[in-house]
Amino acid sequence: MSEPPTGVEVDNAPPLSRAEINNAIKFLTAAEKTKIVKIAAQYAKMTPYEAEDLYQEAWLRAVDGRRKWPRDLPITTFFWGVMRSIAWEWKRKDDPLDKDIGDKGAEERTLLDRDHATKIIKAHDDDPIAQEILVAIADGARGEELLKLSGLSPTDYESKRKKIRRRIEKLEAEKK
Amino acid sequence: MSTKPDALLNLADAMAEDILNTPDDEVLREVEEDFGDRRALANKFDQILERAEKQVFESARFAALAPSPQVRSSVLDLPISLRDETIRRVKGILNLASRLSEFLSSLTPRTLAWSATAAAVATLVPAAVITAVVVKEQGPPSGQQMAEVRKGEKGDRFQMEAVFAPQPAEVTSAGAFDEGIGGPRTQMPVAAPQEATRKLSDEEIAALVAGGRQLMIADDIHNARLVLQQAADAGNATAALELGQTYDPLAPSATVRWGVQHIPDRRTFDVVMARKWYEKARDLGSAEAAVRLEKLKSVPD
Repeated sequence: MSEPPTGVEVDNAPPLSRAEINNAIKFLTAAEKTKIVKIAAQYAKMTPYEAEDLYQEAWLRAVDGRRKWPRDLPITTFFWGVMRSIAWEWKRKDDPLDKDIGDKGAEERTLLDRDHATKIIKAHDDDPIAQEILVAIADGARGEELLKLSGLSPTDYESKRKKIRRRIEKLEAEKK
Repeated sequence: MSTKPDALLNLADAMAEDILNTPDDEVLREVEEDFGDRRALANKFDQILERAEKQVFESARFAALAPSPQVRSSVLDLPISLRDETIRRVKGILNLASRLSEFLSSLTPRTLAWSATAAAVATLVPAAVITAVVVKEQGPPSGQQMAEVRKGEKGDRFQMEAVFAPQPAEVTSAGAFDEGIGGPRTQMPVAAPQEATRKLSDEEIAALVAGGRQLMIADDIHNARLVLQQAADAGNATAALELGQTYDPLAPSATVRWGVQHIPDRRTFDVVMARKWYEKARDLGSAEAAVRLEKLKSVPD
């Protein structure tokens, strides 16, 4: 599992201009838009905000120049990086919900996060392999390590990861 | 069962990576399975960004107006000097229009067509109100004022209108841009650009450049050019360079990049105009303009 680029300019080529960003967004395919929305939903869980707030903020930061878009970066990857970074920022910063209660609020949010992750893992009680994979992911395991840990063939492992993702998505949809 | 503090971030990272690696068709199938419509999430994305774009566009319009009590309405294409109180009233009306549009866009798809109509009405009503307020407060233009404008003499409101109106040379060479709406407007009587130009403050020029950029973001290329041209005519190299780019088929926005399908609207390109504004930018000290002029040498007029 690799962390996405965060939209910081990495080479000498100038980043995309506002007009170029606008054009790139205009010509996004339905699948690309869908992927951005789905990814936003994953990170919005960490914040008190909705997925749409996250991709709207990512778009805004891209067009107003706060996030530079390196030229060779695909649009979905760029959005991924920016949304992840914003979610992390919103989570760490004193958000409006926490402002009144200061540090206590931040502590409570950490507890809520842990609780949220625990709930996701517990929802897979009927699938021990999926649960094992999820616990390892939550603890920071990545790539090959996870495949080995699961004891599955690469194809079965991919299929299991897809089932896990779909289940998590449905779990979140049910909560709304 | 306990998890680490970053557990949720780790889980989100893993899921995001899986989503990115899922084939496009499969992702759309999943959406169909969940919402009964393959485009449900894509439509939501469009709706949210369209709304955000409108908000940015409106903020940009007012940001460009903030330094001086002048309203440059892209609806009217007519900058008008207004009192602060009048601006507040107009802003209030526009905010109301924005809220109305937002409410309508949150309705079911069946009613979305109505929201488009309502948004158009919400845009036109403030335009009518601005006109009505100005006519009421400043009175309609007298016959003498009209005659003065025709002679190219200096009358504040109408002088500014002349600045916004396309120059004959520009209309002729960029005529393709207007062909879809009744052909080039070569018959429009306007004052010569040199006569119409007035001295702008640095603050006003910066506001015009910022406004031009925001109009480009909103894909309103026609008004972006008009706004940038004011700053370029006032001697701003950046504005001249950016104005040239709007006509330049080789400018960065006109190429295919980042694996994203990009189809530029070729009707907006005009090599002659691109050269003209790059030359102006170069003369005003832009090194970038000189580079772009060199690149344009390979492109026939």
